[in-house]
Amino acid sequence: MKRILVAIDSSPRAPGVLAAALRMAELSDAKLVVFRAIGVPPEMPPELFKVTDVRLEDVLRNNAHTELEMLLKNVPRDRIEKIVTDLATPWDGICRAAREHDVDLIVLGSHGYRGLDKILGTNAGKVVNHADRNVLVVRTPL
Amino acid sequence: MMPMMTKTKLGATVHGPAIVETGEARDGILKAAKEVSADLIVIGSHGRRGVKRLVLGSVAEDIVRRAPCPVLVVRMKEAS
Repeated sequence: MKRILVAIDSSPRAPGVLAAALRMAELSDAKLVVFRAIGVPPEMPPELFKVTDVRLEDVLRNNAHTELEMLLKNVPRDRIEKIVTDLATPWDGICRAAREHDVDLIVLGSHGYRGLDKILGTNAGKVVNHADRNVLVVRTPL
Repeated sequence: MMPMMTKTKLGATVHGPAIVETGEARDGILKAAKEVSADLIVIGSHGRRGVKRLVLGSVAEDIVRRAPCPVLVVRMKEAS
């Protein structure tokens, strides 16, 4: 195994998902591609992206990178191949990034799958159905 | 008593009991995982195929939702 994509969101479960991916990477001497999808609500008017001198997309990406850097501060640098952010629906962004970076495994959290989640479908379920490579879904207690 | 060593069709020897259940695959897998307090479920999946899959989802997706433990979904190559 050469590359593992770990999908990180802003939830309190993220450190647990990262820890599981790091353990897998160490066991198989693989590098991590750390991926974070930045969700943009479909109702957001496109004009909003142009109202300031700073592009809103850059602000969102910078914030995501800062958060990821915090989360990754105890991870050995040589274990990380790349940090990737994308303005995308999480499952779609994850599947695309996995293809682009030709990873051997996707690691992501299951979230809790309670209540409405069971009926409406979830990010992890969609990745499992749509990804064209192996997926490890980890359960991390809060 | 269930055998503690199982020879698979592909020639690999699996250490552990072989459990055979009748009925829906998804229910049997989840039941067995709970019975042996599994730390991991490994399951194959062909991914998204056809309209039915889009509407109903796959067995793997269902397992991922309902499993009490981590799940490794191994993508099977399409036989064509």
